[in-house]
Amino acid sequence: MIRLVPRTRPSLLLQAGTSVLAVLLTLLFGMIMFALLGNPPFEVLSVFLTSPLSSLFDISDLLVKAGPLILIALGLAVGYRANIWNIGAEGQFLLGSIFGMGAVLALGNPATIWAVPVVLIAGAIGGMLWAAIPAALRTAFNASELLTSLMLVYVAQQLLYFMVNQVWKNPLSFGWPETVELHEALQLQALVDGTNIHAGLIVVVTIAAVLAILTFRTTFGYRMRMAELTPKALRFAGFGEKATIWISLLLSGGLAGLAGAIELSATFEKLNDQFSLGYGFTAIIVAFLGRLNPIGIVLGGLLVGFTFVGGDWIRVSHGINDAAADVFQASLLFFVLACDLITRYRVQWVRHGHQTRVPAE
Amino acid sequence: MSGLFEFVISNLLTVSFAVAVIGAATPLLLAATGELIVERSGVLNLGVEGMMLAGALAGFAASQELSYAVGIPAAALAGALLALIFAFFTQTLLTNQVATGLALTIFGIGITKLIGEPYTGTPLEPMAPLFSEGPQQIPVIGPIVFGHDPFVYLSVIGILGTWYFLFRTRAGLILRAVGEDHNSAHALGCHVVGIRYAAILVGGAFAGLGGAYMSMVKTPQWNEGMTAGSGWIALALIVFATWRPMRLWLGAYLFGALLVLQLRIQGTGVSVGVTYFLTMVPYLATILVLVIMSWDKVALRRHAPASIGKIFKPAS
Amino acid sequence: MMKGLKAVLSIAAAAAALTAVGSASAQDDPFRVAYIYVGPISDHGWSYQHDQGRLAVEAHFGDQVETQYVENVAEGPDAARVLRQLASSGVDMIFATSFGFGDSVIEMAEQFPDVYFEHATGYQRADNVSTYSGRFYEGRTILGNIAGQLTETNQIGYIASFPIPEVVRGINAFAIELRRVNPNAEVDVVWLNTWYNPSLEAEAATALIDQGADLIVQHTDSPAALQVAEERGVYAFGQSSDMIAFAPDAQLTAIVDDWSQYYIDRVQAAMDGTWESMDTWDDIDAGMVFMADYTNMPDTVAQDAEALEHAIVAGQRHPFQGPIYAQDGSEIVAEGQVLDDTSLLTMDYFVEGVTGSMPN
Repeated sequence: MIRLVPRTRPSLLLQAGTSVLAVLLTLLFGMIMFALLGNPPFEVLSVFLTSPLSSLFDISDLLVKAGPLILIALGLAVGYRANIWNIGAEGQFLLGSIFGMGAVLALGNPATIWAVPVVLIAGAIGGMLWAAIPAALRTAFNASELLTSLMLVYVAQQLLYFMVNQVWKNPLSFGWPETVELHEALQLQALVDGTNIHAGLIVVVTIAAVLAILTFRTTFGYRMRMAELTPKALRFAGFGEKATIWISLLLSGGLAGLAGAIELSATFEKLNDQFSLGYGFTAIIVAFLGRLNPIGIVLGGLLVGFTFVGGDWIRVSHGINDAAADVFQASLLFFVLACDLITRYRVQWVRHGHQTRVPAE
Repeated sequence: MSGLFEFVISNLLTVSFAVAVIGAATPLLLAATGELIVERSGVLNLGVEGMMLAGALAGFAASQELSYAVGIPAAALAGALLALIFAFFTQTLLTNQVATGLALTIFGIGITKLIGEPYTGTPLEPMAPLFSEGPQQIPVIGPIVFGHDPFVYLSVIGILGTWYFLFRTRAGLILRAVGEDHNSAHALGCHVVGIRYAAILVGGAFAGLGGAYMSMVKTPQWNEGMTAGSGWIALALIVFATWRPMRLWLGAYLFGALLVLQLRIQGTGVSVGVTYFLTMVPYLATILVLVIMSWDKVALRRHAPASIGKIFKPAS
Repeated sequence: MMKGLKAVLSIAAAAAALTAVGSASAQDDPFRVAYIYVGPISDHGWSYQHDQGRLAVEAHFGDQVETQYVENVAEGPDAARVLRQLASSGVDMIFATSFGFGDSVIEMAEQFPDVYFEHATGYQRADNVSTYSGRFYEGRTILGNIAGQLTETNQIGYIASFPIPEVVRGINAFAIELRRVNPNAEVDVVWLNTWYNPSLEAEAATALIDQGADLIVQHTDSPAALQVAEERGVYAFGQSSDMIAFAPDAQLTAIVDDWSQYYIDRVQAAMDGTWESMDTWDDIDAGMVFMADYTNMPDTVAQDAEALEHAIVAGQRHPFQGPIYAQDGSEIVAEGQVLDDTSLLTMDYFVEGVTGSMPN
């Protein structure tokens, strides 16, 4: 008979150890999967593991992919700690890109780098406004933000189609649904020659650092962490339920919107109907991989970015189906969740089940 | 106004509209019925989409290789198999249900794409209606009541059976008790984890059937990601229904009606710019209905399983 | 400080590039050709047909050529990454088969001047970037001819993806010929705002048939609408590939995108060193647009369709030759004139016979 005894304080060492264990288990699972698909497992695995780090370009690819994931996940995690389930970050991300593009066009696509902050702030506002809808519906009408935020993803998608097809279509694009390109001054250019590393990543790192300090070094952060330990609370200690809902959704929506504007300015450089790459959904995985804490999320984002770049490489080198990356990410999350058991509980083997009743959480 | 009147008469008050709505709603109803049972037991499984895809692939593959008679149970089994992963993680390993459910969806999308590759682009004979030509000839009633494939009847039996089970049987009472307050139920001697395992597996089987309806009946083909978000709609329908089976039935058909309606409005000729907003309608309507249904907090609390999503850890 | 860092990192980047996966390729290695697809090859539509073209290249050149493909590549930055990975792993020639890959192709073509790039449906070219597409609207004209003769309800259901010129052009080419054959027929368009969603495509077909359409035309990728047509006993046309297996009694014909010859020619040119950057917009005559067997229709209708096909090939018929009327009945193109390619490439209006409207 297995008995689980909750640990009062999960040690950092144990958390790190179980994370490594989860990664190893995922790799083992991946190897079995490759073998079953008829590929040489060791060869594929070695390409998967080494290629994302094999050149500066690949490393920068990894960082560029991880950037928006980290940014979105940082915001989501704050709400998740208080059981506020925003799973519609993809929609907020799209609204961020739409508002960012709106700012670009409203300013007349100016040739000045000083407009960049305006574009980014507009993006954050767009994301916040979109997230304000589930927040308002939750606080005023008690409607589940999990479902309303998700439904709004589909709405945002259509809104994007409408904007690029009907409103902002570039007259020179032969009718294809895309806007004009952002002026070069508005594009977050590569900071380092021969890589894709762009200034938006500095924004990501800064925000991660601020949130890390906020979480681990302030009273607010302490309250936030307390919220996680008392799952029934549905609020951060010291804040009302409504305030908690608003803080969570506006922050996560704002960061998702900011990520959308950064992607607009740094990677797409224009708005088109292909803007939705699923960052908002993948970021949910990143948030949980990072165990909802800012430092963990940065690592989680890098890990998922790694699976994207490595996943692309094994598609190129061995023609492996792109679904392999999906399965990898899902199994990584499964194993992290499973290994979490060890950090949260002490597993004891007992010969007979005791009849002692400890109220569970 | 007369145009609108004419549209309603010629489009909505027709037998073909009713039949189309049933067709659009059936996969949602099947999947949502399963999730209703799961949520009534106090568990939130966001992996519906993944389980539906597993059912879609298994149902298609088994029908093509063997027969429809094998395809239907195979779909249910495949859905339940994925649900077993979820059950093991959330009930035995006590993982977060939201995260595990999302992982299950992503896993389901990916794994079906990998395994299903050989089946893409191969046709499958459409499934025949369950009843013979005779009853189908009856005007109005015939096509609406007797014109369907077995899945439609399964979905109706499923939702009626779920209602009966939840509210008219002792086992259903226990399941609801577990969903309301797992600690009290445990104290009363209910095997909380075992009951939830069972509910999750049944939920997975229903989701699998919902997916199979799409790959075996609606568009008899297998294609990656073919459920295209139906699983999420099914989840929304449950809140819409405030966890009540009869309302769920109504809600599924209402959503199906909205979907068919927007396509029919388009068929009458509208400006292209309007079509984006017509496509939004079913989702906006879902939000609107969620708001209306959730407004009455007291009623919602009365019907929503109080333990939903919470981790239960028995003491021994 | 920043500059110094940049310089150091650039050197490191160059060094790393030298050791990148499989960067060197020996002289007698096969010529390596890669394809990137926006969808899965299992879509049985657009991406599937490009892959058929790839297989034709393999069959034609045998050991001389090695091909590979990457499917489900998202347009945008992800495409740039995959293109760079392919180019840096020693691929000699890359076919990028979706419009949205354009910017990435141009960017990567600059960084890899020795790699030949070919971009389908694009308009941006460079010294090592060619563009190519097919005049699929010619096939739509033939569909219009068949539909005009076969419809009894005079209502044609048209399932469309996105309101881009390619799709609008197809609708118009179809409607012009439909009205020429049958002045009472009308085209009802349903926009799905997706290229690929089998379930939604099936719903749309059902709705159109319920509203009286007895013929379904589609410009989306899955065979779902054909399956509905088959079940409901109405006619339909296949899209991009021959979909007869999905609707043996309903498919009349299909517009098949046949990229084989173009791909073989271009690979040959690149291997011979005669490759030049150019824009190709090939037609039925060139074999890029191919009509599947005319089935499930009376012989007379099939003969008319074949005659029209020959006329188009011979240049005696242009799908957009006047008189062409706008929705309000005014004349757009006068008798004896034809629309030029620029007008075709930017088409954003409907002609007479199409219900619904395009905002300007």
